[in-house]
Amino acid sequence: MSSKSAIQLLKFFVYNPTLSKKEGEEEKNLMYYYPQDVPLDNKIKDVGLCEALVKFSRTFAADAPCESLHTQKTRQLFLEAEENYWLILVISIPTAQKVKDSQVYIEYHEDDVHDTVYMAVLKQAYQMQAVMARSTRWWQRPAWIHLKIRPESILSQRYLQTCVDRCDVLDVFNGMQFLPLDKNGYLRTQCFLNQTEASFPQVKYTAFLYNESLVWSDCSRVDIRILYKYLTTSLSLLHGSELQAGTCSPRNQARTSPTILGKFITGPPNLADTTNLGKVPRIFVNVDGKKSEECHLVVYRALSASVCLMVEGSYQLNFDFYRLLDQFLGPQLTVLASDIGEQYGKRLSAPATLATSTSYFQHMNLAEKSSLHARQRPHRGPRATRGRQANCRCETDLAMSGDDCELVVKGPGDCWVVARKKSDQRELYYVNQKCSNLIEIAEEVKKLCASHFNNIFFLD
Amino acid sequence: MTFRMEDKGKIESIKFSPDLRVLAVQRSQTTVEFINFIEGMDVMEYSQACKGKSTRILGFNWTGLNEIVFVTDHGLELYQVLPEKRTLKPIKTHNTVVNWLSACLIATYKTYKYGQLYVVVLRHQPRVGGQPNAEVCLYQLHRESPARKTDVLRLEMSGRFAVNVVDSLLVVHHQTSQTSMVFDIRLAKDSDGYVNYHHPVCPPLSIKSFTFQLPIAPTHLPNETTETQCDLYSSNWVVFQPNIVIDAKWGCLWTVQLNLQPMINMFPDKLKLMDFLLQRSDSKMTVLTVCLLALSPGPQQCGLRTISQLYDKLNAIYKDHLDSKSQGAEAVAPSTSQVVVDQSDMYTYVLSRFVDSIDASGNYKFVVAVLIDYIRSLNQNRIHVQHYLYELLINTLVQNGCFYQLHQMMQYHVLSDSKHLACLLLSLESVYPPAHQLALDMLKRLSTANEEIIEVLLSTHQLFSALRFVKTVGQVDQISARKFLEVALSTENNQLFYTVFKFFEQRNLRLRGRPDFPKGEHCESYVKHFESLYGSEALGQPLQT
Amino acid sequence: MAASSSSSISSCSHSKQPPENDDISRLAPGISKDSVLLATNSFADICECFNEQCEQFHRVKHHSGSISELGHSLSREGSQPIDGEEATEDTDLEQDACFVIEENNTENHDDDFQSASEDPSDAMSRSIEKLRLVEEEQEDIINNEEWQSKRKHVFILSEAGKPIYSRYGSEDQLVTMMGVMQALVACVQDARDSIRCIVAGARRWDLVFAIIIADKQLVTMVRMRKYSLHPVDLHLILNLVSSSTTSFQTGETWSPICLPKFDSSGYLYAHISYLDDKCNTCMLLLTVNRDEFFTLSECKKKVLERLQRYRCLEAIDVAIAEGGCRVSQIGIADLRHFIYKSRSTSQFVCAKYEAPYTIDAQWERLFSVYQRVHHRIHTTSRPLKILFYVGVHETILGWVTSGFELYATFSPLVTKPVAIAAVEKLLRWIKREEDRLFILKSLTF
Repeated sequence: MSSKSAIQLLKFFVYNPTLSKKEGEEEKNLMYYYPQDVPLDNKIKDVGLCEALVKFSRTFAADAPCESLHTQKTRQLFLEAEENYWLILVISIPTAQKVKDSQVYIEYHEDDVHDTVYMAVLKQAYQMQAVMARSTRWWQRPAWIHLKIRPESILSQRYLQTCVDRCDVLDVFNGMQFLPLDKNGYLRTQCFLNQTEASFPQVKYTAFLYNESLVWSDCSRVDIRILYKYLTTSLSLLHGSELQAGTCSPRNQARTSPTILGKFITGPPNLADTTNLGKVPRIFVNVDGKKSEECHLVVYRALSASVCLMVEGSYQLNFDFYRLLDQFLGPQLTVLASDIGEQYGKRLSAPATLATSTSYFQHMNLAEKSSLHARQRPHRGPRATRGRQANCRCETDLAMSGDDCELVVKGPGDCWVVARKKSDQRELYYVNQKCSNLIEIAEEVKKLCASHFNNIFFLD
Repeated sequence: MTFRMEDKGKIESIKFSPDLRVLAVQRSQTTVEFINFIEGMDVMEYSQACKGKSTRILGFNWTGLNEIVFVTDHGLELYQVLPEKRTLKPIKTHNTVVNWLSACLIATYKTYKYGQLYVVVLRHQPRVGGQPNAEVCLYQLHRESPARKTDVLRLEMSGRFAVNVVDSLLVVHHQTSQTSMVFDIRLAKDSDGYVNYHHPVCPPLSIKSFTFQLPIAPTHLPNETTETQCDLYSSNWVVFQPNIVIDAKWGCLWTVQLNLQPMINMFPDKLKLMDFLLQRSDSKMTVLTVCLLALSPGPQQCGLRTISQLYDKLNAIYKDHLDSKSQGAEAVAPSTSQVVVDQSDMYTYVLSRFVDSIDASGNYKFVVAVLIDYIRSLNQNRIHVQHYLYELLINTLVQNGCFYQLHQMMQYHVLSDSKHLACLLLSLESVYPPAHQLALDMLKRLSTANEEIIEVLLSTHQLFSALRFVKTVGQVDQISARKFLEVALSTENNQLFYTVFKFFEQRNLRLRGRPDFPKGEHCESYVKHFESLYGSEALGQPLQT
Repeated sequence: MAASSSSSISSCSHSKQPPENDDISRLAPGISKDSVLLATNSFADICECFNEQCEQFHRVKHHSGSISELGHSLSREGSQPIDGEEATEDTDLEQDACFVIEENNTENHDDDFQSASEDPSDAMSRSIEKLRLVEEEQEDIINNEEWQSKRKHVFILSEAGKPIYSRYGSEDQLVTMMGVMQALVACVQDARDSIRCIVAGARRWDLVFAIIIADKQLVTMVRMRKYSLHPVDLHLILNLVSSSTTSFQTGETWSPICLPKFDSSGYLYAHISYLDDKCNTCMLLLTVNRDEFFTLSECKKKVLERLQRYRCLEAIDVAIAEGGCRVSQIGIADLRHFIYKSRSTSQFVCAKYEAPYTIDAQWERLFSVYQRVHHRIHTTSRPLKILFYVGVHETILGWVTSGFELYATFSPLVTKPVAIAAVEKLLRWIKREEDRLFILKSLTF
């Protein structure tokens, strides 16, 4: 079977039908439209179609707004992110060439595109932008698209396309990876951050990450989810490479203490040069309905540990603040980071072979463990994609039923997928290519739970 | 104790041994007589002369239970007293350079400080620049090695001094300024490698004035007394070791006590204060007050970092105490401090009071940080944290809605598992639904709480989870059918009731080959309900053999 | 259809090495070479052809219909062999857009968005104009509560937007709404694309698939040797008979009927009549020839007389009364219900609904669960072989092999080994009862 075409991002636009009611002024309702080079009346037509669809579907499902339009070649998703503000994402359906009685025709694989996954992408894109840009109504300001620190915006075509490419069940989770640290290591980290907040009153919230894994944060559940996504995607904390000891400026303390490897990721790149204060993104915290505070996001990193400080928006960042911060954080963070490094190195989660992969998500605190996704290592093998696709499929099925359930399926190529859900608290997805029958896969899952999940109440 | 002695001449000096069982009396320059006081006053006396014809005993001192040292103009002679044999055994003689004894006003005291024997020598030595300066030198006495000068206390004053040892502290009374200076040789000092130089622990203080009752001169009747104001540092004062002051004029004997409470705000450096207090004998309450003050808002409040170091100090001692107790060794090492602040003290006198004092508007972040730091310190010292500390932390977090942080701590097993804690989590379910799941996780980890798990699951109508759990722990045949059927019925979910009913019907078939319930299980009402729903033909059939 | 390697649910006996090629699945009860019904293409293909229909609007018909051939062959007697391939669809019929609206009223949907107020835009003005007109005229049908709350609406409108059929409400009241629908379709067609469904609330399940014989079930069938009846056509016939019982009971009816799988470009003529006065057993005689009514009614009398002589009608009544096979008779404790389809004969056995599905319309829910599992297994892109779903109300095991499809329902507390043992016991029982449950031999003339 010839290879499938990838899912393409075709259109993304934002409109508000209530802005102008007069004929011929529809253009005012349109906030943003990608791709830009589309003639205006096509843009207006697209908006018109969406409005009509929303109106039409309302006659039959008054309470449930129109969510998606499945056509043979495209999938269109509707999100009313805020009152009267509609975000529309249009993606292509993957196709494959097929020959049937000597006639080549195109087969559309509609089942590969799951509404739940791409709705999650749309929602995340909205939240990210709401947190990172000027105000929650980020589309109202003309300059909203150009963030200070990176030329292309969060909602750039490149970002959305990457989401569309590699998104899967993990994007539906939109969870966070936690560092498997022992009790003392965790307490040390938390006390270190508490002391930082105590000695720098301007710092409102803090978060501590080691590489891609979160250890502690005292932001709210919603904020940390968005911040984590932002840190691990746009701010690409994971490329620690350029921060190896060699490049960043090791400064020897007066006495024989270890060299201090601390460096500001956002903020002054080099503490010797007092003129350059570097760029610091401004973010919005507690965006979820309650009062939303504007904060500076200062990120300080030593070895692979990063401390994120959310400094009060009204505070005027100055060089002394950075210098004091560096003196306070530098030594302690370096020691803490190396200790964690030693301890964490020993407890790497079980390496997932290509034949099996596991994804686990805990809704309660958004914790996510996955050997599947490229988070640790890029994992582009075909089987991985099939595993991912399988997971999505199960996710959409399980999402349907709210309470405890389990789904075991054997798909083409003897690929078994086990999906288990505990009353929207915990979800486990296990893909295995090797088992031959139902009893064997059941044993595999039992072993997996005994080894990885024996400290929680998660029965099969 | 009162006793009478024959008058055999003028008594130079008279001292009881530390355990009050032998009395030493010096009536001449060359010999010292001893009387046993084992069962009352012994009649026989025995004596010991000093060595050498021309040596004169300047004084003597008990240096141990049955050990005495003669200070003579030729040196020191150490003897072992054997009361049963009524003889003394010479142990060691030590001839020191004679001149330092004659060159200065000799006020030699033997003090028993930190379980270490010192000779305290008060020396007036003109310092460069004409500064009047007196010093107190301490020589450490060892059995084998010669006495070595270890510490010098700088008085920065001149005039008449007297030295007392109170609670291992050197208290130097200065008559002219009517103040006393307190020195602690254990505290941080600057040293030139050989000798440590000390400064007073705090500015000179006067002894607290006080009044005392004196019988009216002529009647000497005990109940008729007059209030008399004591005149401090009077010339009639005679100072004895370790902390005795005798006023010859009034014929009263006082012991000098240390009043720790006011000293709290004399130490700017709280860590130094803590070190000082920890050496004192009954300073526990003061230590706790210092801790509480360190937390509560006010002049004494410390930064989080200092608090953290305070905790580590206290818990290090607490850990040693626990270790020594666990090894059964009852020996209370004299050198280590007696003050042990364990977590129940810290909880009752400091943490719970601090948390209660913080009202709603208070900075809960600081409260949480303090609690977590104490738990960190306990963990770091490998001390098992009691559940009441966890409860305090959890309630604080819950009151301030920091459920997410609570969850993160649960995830890292900061709060060690216990049934008590699991119950607390269950009570939080209405405020934070995931707490229910956290409680279940904890009960499962305990692996001794199967009944509790089943109760929790049944209370929330999670019948299938309960039955599946029962299967995994292999108690299918022990559980009461009635209890499960009752819950199933209360859910008013016919499907669920059917499944549970069939589950127990299968058990009956497996156990007795017949689907019906035995009389003892009182399930008749449930069978009737089942029949009313699905008809009697839906009931199970006996096994066809 | 390439027979994929038969998957194996090995017997739960604790043999270390599960048997390589499991004998149970080869057992495949209900296998027969020449079956009464010939399902040439599997369910998946049906989806494909639906795709093809949308893709090639004007594909030329490349295969002559069976009816026209039958017509010539009858006249020329020596008809040349026609392969079993069913007639391909023909697109000369006026292209009807058929809109099926599955209204979602049960799903809990966590949407907290408000509805957007209505506003014209020029590209869609024509249809939205109509919509606004509808608003003003306050046509009651669109906004009346009861009409809206129907679970499933079916509208058929011509390419020009003229209403042809509406399941509820009269067509003429729906002119404007039909116009809007047509506009929506046209609008999407501009991009050479076609609407498949509009999702608002629940996902939409498209194909429904159920056969019931005797009282709506096939008792027996006789067919011409070279032609076979496709299950989809059989469905049409059954729906025709069951939906209009009154009109057929009065006597013999003669009506044209189009069987699309047989030949979508022409009509067959059916002689429909009830054989017993209680109207339990209905017989249909299908012919290509328009004026065969009298010969067929003669034929019916002969058949009726034969049946009465062998007292077949009473047997049929008894079978109907008894109502299919019961799980409780089979004696498998954990099994609650099952549907077994033999793929070669494209016939299926569905156990009678027993406890716990006898109350609270539970069997309707179970039926929708079967639908969902069936759809899940037969997804075009990733067809599944085994599906084991542990839900809150029951556990469903779906197992598809080249020979059969089995859907079995157990208690939610069943374990996998117990379920597998039960399934194997069930397959052995079906094998024993094969002849009673399926029509294996097909009578031809």
